[in-house]
Amino acid sequence: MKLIRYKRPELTAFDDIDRWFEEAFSNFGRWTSPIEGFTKSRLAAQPAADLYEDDDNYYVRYELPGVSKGDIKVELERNFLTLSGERKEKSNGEEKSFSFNRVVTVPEGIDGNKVAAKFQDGLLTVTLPKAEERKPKAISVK
Amino acid sequence: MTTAIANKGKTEVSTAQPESYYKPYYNVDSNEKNYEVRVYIPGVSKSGVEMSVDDDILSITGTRTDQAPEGWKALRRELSQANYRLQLQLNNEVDIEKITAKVADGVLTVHLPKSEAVKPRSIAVE
Repeated sequence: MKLIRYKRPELTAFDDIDRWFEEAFSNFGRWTSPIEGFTKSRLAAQPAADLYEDDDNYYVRYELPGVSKGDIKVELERNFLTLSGERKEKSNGEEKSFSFNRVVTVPEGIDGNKVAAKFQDGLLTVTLPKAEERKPKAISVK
Repeated sequence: MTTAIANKGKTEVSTAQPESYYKPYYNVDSNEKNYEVRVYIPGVSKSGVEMSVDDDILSITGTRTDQAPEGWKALRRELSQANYRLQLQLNNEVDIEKITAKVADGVLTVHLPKSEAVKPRSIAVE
């Protein structure tokens, strides 16, 4: 089981530099930081994802703050879960649009017909039910 | 000798836990009447947000209301689990009484009305 290779966005070299600036200037209490970009990676073109499992399901969670539900598209093709969509941002009267995209490889043996997604408070949770034959079963010893 | 120690009796045991906070990404816009701060706090609903103004510091704390349930076993983690904290110094005149805020889709929007003294005004040339 593996996910597509993904570089943690907050660990890129540029972000480190931004972070130093941010820390160096933070005490000035400026309204706008001198360098925009620190933690912007949270809103990256390739959103970060968590993968969980329990007995019945796999779960993939993404952070998509400021995205409206209607602008999110989730697709499962074989064991590739593709998230794509647009984040629309209004600032000073202009509307800007940023697209995002992320492919996650999920484990085999998912019941594709029962995949469900829920979006709440900027968190998208995709529930991928395990097919019956993949669920753990207790075997009684005779 | 033992009494010297015993007298100290009721010392309270500190139970403070180390806490780490994540500084959220935020945006500031302004127009003639307002400053608008947008703070990105995914995983926090309205009930998880606390805001206060102390002197000229606006403090925002966002406590995650949507954590992964106990029974889930993490196979891969990229997201931070930490709560959010942001402090902004209000170095412009803001009408503190009229600050309003709302939370939608993981974004906290704070409206800070500019106080009358700093609003732009036109000056008639005589």
